Amino acid sequence: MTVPPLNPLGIELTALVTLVLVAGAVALDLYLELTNRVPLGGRISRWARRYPLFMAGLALVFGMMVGHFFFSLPVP
Amino acid sequence: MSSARQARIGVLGSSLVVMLGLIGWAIFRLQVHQPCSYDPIDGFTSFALVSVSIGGFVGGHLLAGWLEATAAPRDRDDRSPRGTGIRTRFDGAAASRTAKLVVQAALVLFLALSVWLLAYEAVALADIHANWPITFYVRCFTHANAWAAGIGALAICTLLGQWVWYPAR
Repeated sequence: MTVPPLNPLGIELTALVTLVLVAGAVALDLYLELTNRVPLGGRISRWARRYPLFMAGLALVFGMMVGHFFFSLPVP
Repeated sequence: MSSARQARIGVLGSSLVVMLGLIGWAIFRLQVHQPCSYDPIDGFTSFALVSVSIGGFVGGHLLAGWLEATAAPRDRDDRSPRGTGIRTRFDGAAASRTAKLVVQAALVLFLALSVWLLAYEAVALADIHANWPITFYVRCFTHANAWAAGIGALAICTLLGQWVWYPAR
């Protein structure tokens, strides 16, 4: 199997996009907590109870990604 | 301020510091040696990473449950503005509408980014001779920095466990 050489920018972008998304969500949750508002988990929970299928779909995609990244089998 | 709230602020604050440190490390210190392996993660490393992800998710749920069980009632909720005057009601309704718009815009942005990334992944996987799929970058990163990948997976899954598997009061 021949693949193009690694592009180092791809590694940087993959790491940065993931980290910035999570850091932004943590910062938002911290702001909500400091101002004594309903935390992000409470809001997501309320939203998930309103749209359970939507949330189940998102959880399915995320679980598939984790399995795809870390738990895949070699192609014969 | 209750001890549970202090604990939650401490957890979130330290998580934010770790995340900012990781962002700085990714910008200035991240090194990947060529050629980088994109072979599937297998054996103990795969088992450890998946276990850490599941453990972090369950741990996040348990942590949120403990914090929520000992938390005092919230002072403010965006849905219910204080006061009974017309001005207060009007300002509260406008603020609530703005908050809803911001949340909706953030959700649309997040879903659009997810769709774009998944579309790129699908296209790249269809022809790996043209571009590296995101999976290959993740595997390459994991082969080069297994501990960092484990810490990242643990942190993300713990936060998701807190947010998505939120305890009922």
